[in-house]
This record gives sequence, C-alpha cells and structure tokens, in this order.
Amino acid sequence: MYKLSLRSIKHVIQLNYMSFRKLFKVSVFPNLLDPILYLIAMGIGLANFVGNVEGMPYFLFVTSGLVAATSMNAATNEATTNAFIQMRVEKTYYAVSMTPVNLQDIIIGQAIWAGIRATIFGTLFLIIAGFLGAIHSWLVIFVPFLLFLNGLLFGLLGLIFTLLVPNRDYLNYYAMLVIQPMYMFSDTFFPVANMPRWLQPYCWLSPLYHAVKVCRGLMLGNPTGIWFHLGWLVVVVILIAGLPIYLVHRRLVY
Amino acid sequence: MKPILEVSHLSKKYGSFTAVNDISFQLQRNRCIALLGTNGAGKTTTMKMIYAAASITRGRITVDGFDVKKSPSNTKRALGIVSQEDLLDGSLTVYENMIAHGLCYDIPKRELKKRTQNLLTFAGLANYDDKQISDLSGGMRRRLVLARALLNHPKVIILDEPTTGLDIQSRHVIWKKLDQLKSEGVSLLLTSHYMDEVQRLADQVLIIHRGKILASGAPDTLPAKYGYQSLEEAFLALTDFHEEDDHIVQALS
Repeated sequence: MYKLSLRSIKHVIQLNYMSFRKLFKVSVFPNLLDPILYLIAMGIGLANFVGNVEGMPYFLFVTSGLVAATSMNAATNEATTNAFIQMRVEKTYYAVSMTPVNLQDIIIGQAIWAGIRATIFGTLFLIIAGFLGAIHSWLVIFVPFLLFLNGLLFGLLGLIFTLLVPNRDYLNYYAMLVIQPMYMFSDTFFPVANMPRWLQPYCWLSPLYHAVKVCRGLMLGNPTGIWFHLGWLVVVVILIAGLPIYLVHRRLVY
Repeated sequence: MKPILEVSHLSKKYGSFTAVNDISFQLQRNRCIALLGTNGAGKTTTMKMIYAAASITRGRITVDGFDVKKSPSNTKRALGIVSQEDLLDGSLTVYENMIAHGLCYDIPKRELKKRTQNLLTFAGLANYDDKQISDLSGGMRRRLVLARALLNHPKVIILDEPTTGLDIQSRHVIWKKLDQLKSEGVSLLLTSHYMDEVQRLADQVLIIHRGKILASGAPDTLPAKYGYQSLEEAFLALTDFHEEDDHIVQALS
C-alpha cells in the first residue's frame, strides 16, 4: 500500500503550475481553437438545417456537449503527451522523485493538475459559449466543478495509458481509438437515443457521455437525473485511481 | 560514532541477473566513499536503492537513522542527489529550477529564496539566474545540479559521476566546491571513472565488480594492501581487465 502525502501532492501541482504559467499563452490557442471550430461548424452552420434536438435548439445541444468535451481534451493532453514528456523525455518525474515527494504523490498530483487544466480551458470555452447565448440557468456556476471531476477522470485514464505504452507513437492510438470515438458518440453532437441500439450501451460506458449530461443539465437549468451521472463519474474515479499508482511503481522503480 | 549512511547485505536482482550482490559499507560524517567499478558493475543501482529509485531485493539501507524501505521521504530529506543526467526542467529558468526543487522539501518561501541566492553564488551562477537551461554550458549545468542538491542542507550528497564529460577547469571548480562541503560536515558518496577524482576526494574506495565489493581501503594504501603499485593498476587487475581481451584495444591495434 502506497501512502499519499497531501503536501507532496500540493508541491506537484505547484510545479505543474510554474511550467503552465510560462506556457499558458502558447497552450490556450490549440486548446480552444478545436471546440470553437466545432461550435462554428456544427452549432452555428449545421444548426440552421437541424432545428430542435431533444426539445432544445441544436446550438444549445452542441455547445453544452463541447464544454464537457473541451475539458476531456485538455485533461487528456496533460495526462498523455505532457506526462509522457515529463516521464520519459525530460525525466521530471525522476528528478522530483529524488526529493521527499514519492511517485504515488507525483501521479495523483498530475491527475489533479489534469483536472485543473480541464477546469481552466473548459471554463474559458464556457465563457465564450455564454457570450453566444448558450447559458440559460444560474446552475451554470456548478459547471467548473463538473469540469474538474471530468478532467480528473480523464487525467487518470490518460496516465494509465501513458504508463502502459512502450513509446510515444502509441499515444496516437489512444487519441484515435479511445478519445475520438468518445468525442463523437457521447451525446456531444448527436443524441445517443437516436443511435443504433447496439451502439447505445457503448456510449453509456463513455465517461464523456455522463459529463455531457450533467453539463447540459446545469447550463440549461434542467438538472433532472444529474446525480446519477455525477455518481457514475465519482465511482469510476474511485475505481481507477489506484491503477496508475500501481503502474508507475512497476514502470519507474526498477 | 553512528554512521550517517549504513548499507547492510544489500542485493538487487533483475529476474535471474544479480546486479548487486550482498554488499555492505558504512559512511561516517564528514567522510567521502568512492565506488569504483566498470560500467554495469552495480554502482548506480546501489545509489538508486539508497534514494529509493530502485527497489531493494534483499538487505537494508539506513540514512540518518531512517530505513529507506519504511520511510523513503524522511530518507530523501537527508540526501542531496547529483545524478548522472542533469534532469533540469527546460521550461524554467535557472532560478525557477532551484525554486521548483526547493518547494518539494517544504522549505518556506522566504528561506528558499535566500538559500537559492546563496547557492547560485556558491556555484558561480549568480549572474545566470534568469537564463534558460539551454543557455548554460555543460559545466554550468553540473554546478547548477550540485547547487540544487544542496537546497535542503543534506547530510549526505550522492554524486553519480559528477564531472563526466566536463573540461579540466570545470572539474576543478566542482572538486573545490565538494572539498568545501566536506569541510562543512557533509558526507559524500561518489562514483567516478576518474582515478584522479577519486584520489582527490575519497577517504575510502570500494572497488565493485559484478555487483560485489572486491577491495576496499584508503586510496593511497589500497594498492599496496592488494600488492599493486597504483590505484589504477589495482582496479584493472581486480576487475579482470586484460588488454588482449578488450575489443576496443583490438579494434585500435
């Protein structure tokens, strides 16, 4: 059993913040450009041909989905590409593990940092969406909490994968085979209820599907059922949190 | 006097391969022990086990009274580590690299800033605090890594080939700094391929080969103790070096 130290986890978050602060201007553009392009293409362009979806304008349907998806992508980038560079290229994990901070603290700190990044970029996109008229309820103030939870979950998932892959090229498989399908089939752009029956259970397994449901409920003021989806996300975080800790000790302690 | 670092019957296995085979030694305060060995002899593995970067298969290590297996964090608080690779964060400046490292030791911010200024001066890098790591020469980086390793006022400094790849001037600068630290009461555990470095810094030499300690003694008395003229001769003989077997010598001849 690996003991966690809250202080050490805090230090890992501080270290990540130091680098992030320097690179914020460079990283903000790619993190927001992708959802903005989708927002223009689908939420504004395609919306003219679609009309209402699940009782709401298609623009609102897509925008709320994109807010959650932005947090997923921000956390995934942090936990895959950035974490890989820190683990294997610059070996920052190794340098930090020579201090009183242990590997389990580094991994959990990194996952929490992924959650914080997800909150920052998701909230920035939420503000843009707000200016375009996508916010319809005061409950939206709770969205950043959801974005953090979603980011934490995708941070843990990304770290698990990053710790398993033999080299950097394999990270593309995660992006293509795991993240991209979730992006497409998690109630983000199309209602899952209209998907083929055989596909629907797989959509339900996507964490992004549950995050989108909560995000939509909070942005549009219809919180019915969000506790179930929130509970689903929390349970998955608890279930998978130990796995990257186990893997990092297998991988980086020889 | 109780040793600051105690290694007892330490072994490390990777599958069926034994990298470190039942080695024991003690490092006293203000002293320097050098581990001499060929590449793959088990020196770096031994050091990694001391700072908990490698698991211990068998045996025990204590640093400043703390067992590495049971309390790695407390152990690492007493250590300063200069690893073979620089492991500096390329996205941060010289000053920020120091601060980032010091944060991990819970050093209060004001104190951390003061120590950083002092150590950058000590390392001759006071005028480079706002430089990026990529702007530093190899010697400057090694001095920065040494300064970084001193932030927590360590009782033992682990130096894994601290001057490999440096010019003679840079090596002398680092040796002077290490002499100064020793005189201030810090203990050193060193690995090196340079006999002059070992003779200059070490109070005791352990010759390691294939994971085992083959010889030990002071650098000036060890050769005679085993019947050789010099430390280099003793090292080559004890580690089974035969010129006719060495493929590099063969390739050059």
